[in-house]
Amino acid sequence: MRGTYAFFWKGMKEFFSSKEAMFWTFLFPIMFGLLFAAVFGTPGTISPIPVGYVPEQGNATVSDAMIHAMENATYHSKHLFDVHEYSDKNAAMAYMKNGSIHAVILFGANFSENIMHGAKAGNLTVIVDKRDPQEYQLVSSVLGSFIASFEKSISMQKLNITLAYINSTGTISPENKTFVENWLKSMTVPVSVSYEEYAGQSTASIMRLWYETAAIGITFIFSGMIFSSSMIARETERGTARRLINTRTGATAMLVGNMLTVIVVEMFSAFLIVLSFYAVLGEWMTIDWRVLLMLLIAATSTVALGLLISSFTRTQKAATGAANAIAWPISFITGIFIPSSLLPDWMRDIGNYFPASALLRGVRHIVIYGGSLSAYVPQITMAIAMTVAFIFAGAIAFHWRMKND
Amino acid sequence: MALMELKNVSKRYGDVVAVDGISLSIGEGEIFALLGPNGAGKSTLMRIIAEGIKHDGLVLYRGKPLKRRHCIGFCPQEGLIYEELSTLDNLRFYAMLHGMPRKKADELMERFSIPNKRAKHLSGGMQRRLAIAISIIGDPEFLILDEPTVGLDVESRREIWDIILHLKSEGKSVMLTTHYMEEAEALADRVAIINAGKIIACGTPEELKSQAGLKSAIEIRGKFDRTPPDFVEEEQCIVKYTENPKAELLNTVQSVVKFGTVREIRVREPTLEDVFLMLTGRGLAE
Ligand SMILES: Nc1ncnc2c1ncn2[C@@H]1O[C@H](COP(=O)(O)OP(=O)(O)O)[C@@H](O)[C@H]1O
Ligand SMILES: [Mg+2]
Repeated sequence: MRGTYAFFWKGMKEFFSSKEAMFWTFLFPIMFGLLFAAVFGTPGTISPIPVGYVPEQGNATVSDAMIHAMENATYHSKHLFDVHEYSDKNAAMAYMKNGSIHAVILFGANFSENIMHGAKAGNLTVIVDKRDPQEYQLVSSVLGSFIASFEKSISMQKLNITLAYINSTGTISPENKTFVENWLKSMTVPVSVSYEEYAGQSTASIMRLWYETAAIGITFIFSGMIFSSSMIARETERGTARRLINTRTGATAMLVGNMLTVIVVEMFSAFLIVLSFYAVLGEWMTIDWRVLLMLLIAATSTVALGLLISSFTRTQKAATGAANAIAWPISFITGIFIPSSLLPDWMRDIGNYFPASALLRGVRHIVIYGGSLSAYVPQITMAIAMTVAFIFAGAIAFHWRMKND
Repeated sequence: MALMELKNVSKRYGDVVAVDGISLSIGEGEIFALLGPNGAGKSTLMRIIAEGIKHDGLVLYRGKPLKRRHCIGFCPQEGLIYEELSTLDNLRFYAMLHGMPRKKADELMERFSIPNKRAKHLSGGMQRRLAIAISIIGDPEFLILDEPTVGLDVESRREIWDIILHLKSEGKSVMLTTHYMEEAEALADRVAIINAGKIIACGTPEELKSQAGLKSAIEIRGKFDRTPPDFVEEEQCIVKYTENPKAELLNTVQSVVKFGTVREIRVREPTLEDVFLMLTGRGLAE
């Protein structure tokens, strides 16, 4: 205990006196937090989506109305679209290629005519630039919901005309009129869905919490793995573990003390990130004991991985290099930084099993969707089991190497 | 009974035999120096004793195989000091590892007169002092110092010598390595000359010199009518071999002036360097 504390105490002192460590532990999370908060968290920052279209030839009553509606569509009193007219498809596509517009709307032959006279469906082609996956998701969902509501309003209008016609001819008895009217109306508006209502939160706040947890996850993976592996490798390089034989402290105390230092530092970094988001957005992420518990296990798991890395490397330099080489791909493929919906299946599988990312999903489940801890018990158990396995493997490899050098 | 005894101790690293069948014994309260060139195997031998790294042969302490090593204070060439920590924090950290009270750290800092600065900003001499202070913080009986003065200026080196002699006066036994002859002569009760992993001579500095058949002498240059009695003629000078040249110097010179003009007088005392040269056929300096 006393020896463990000695290493923990020394580690903290070293952290607070090393400029490099200060940067990664304190400045980096704050920068990260402030930047992410500013980029993803500030509501009302969505700029109009640039959309191009080719005007319909001949009767353009409906298509003109639709373009007009797009030009005037607003969200939180900001324009949703920035609409540009082009002479033909090729011209529009050229602008999409160079990134000036994110989508092109093409009206099929006789679009307005077909809708007005009802003989055939009005064909509409929407081409969305998929080169930027996040932008693609945003553009296609906003355009999709706009078109859906435009479609609905056309159906309503057609229905109203139909009803007016029925009324004027008097083919329905007055007793049945209200019933028929309501029944027909219900056919055009079958279900009313309001996605924004789901978690009781706005999209902006979901985004903000998503990236707030992403920043914590990335900091955990990088500082956890790099600091713990390099600290332990440095002790090995200096020969500390061997020289402990002249003291009343064992090598296990050294490993545990060093790991504790990094865990505390990681938790502190996480706190700084939460604080930075608060500073920009004036809103705290809810951190209760469940979140704290999962963050603590996540921090421990990355430190355990660092221990494992250090037991296979001989110098601090090699350990830092190896930890970096592992941390980069991990932070990408485990869905911490890039939404797992955008990842291929095999990466999603790794993300499901990698302890830090599994726990981070648990944290998101609670802070974003208000979920419960019990839903994540299997993942937490798995993460703890893997962390314990990493620690044992690392410690055994460490002791084996000490004995056999 | 010897305090520390090695019996036929060997260590190999792959094809390199770093320590090759070394046997020696060190008594209580003794300063024992290992003298030898770089790569001779001095540090490896110390690590066998202090850290118990894998080896062949026996290491006995008070007649029993050495297992737990709390009785040993080890000051390796490097790796003891945490550069980012202050003097006091370094000492406090090691005090905790040894289960010593915190005030022991303050005491040692004061006793060794080390300024309390971030360790990497201490001078080379102060860093060595700090390392030695760290190695004695657990109050060991047996102290092992690997090259305690290497790379230091003459003054700092002498200050370290004083510290080592003071530790001896407190009853500690000290084993140290050096490749400075004058250090071994100034400090050590006994010296082992080590080369290529083997001990090639062992004894007090005087024993070693006489074992090697080396004598002290008075060397005089000048112009003489004939060779004075007791002198032999060598290249460019006349030489008188004697046990105690300093005491005889005055009388000798007085008698020599009768035979001619004296231009230069030198006392030649054999050094361990000469011993080493005799034994190995090469010098100690790198
Ligand atoms: N850890 C090691 N691995 C491989 N060879 C080593 C190791 N330590 C020392 N040696 C070799 O053992 C020999 C003796 O080294 P060392 O004990 O450091 O000599 P000295 O301290 O007298 O300069 C040298 O040839 C050195 O290269
Ligand atoms: Mg050496």
